[in-house]
Amino acid sequence: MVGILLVTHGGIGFSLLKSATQILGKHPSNINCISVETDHEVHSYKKTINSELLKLDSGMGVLVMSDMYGATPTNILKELIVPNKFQVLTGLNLPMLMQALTSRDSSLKDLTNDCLKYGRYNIINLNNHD
Amino acid sequence: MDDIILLISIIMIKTQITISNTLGLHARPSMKLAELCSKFNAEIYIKKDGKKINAKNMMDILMLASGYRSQIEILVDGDDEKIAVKEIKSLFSDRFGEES
Repeated sequence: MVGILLVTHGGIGFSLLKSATQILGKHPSNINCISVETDHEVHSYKKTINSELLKLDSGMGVLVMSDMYGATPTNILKELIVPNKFQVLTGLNLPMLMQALTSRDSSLKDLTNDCLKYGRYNIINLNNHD
Repeated sequence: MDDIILLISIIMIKTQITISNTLGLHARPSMKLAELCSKFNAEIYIKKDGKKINAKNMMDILMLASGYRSQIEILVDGDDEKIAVKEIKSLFSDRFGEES
């Protein structure tokens, strides 16, 4: 099973996980959240995230999802990318997380591509939508 | 090639369903339906408004945005298709356990 790590500003990751758990009807396994607060040392987050990545990797790798490209959480994650082992997606939203939580047996590569696809598909201007 | 398509359409079970729960196929029912469909070996699809999606994927079901009283078609093809159709119809008629 691919591990999932949410690295976000404040409690965004925890809130999304709580909503996803309500939809799933059970708490998903092999997932964790890290809140990045502005008043903490960036260096300490690198250690925490690295340690969590190792914990969550059961051999199939870890998909890391973060909220906003260019912001501190994603800037920290950029340095931790390991192809085929730790993949990072930004623009985290609930559809992206739901896709990840309902396709846990996919390969890391397929899961990453699917999450990217469904995350994007769900950004819709309802005024221009059938 | 046309013969193969014709043969598949004969073998496949097709059933029309009207969504009867007031909130439609929102997140929880979509999850329940995808979970149920994933239990079967059969390939299961949903058709609505010209779109055809894999019923084993919760996000695909959700994106059909099927509201109350909308019509969908369930297509089931595989060795356990009969029991699959029976259980799927039952889930819809029970309104996903949301309403008594």
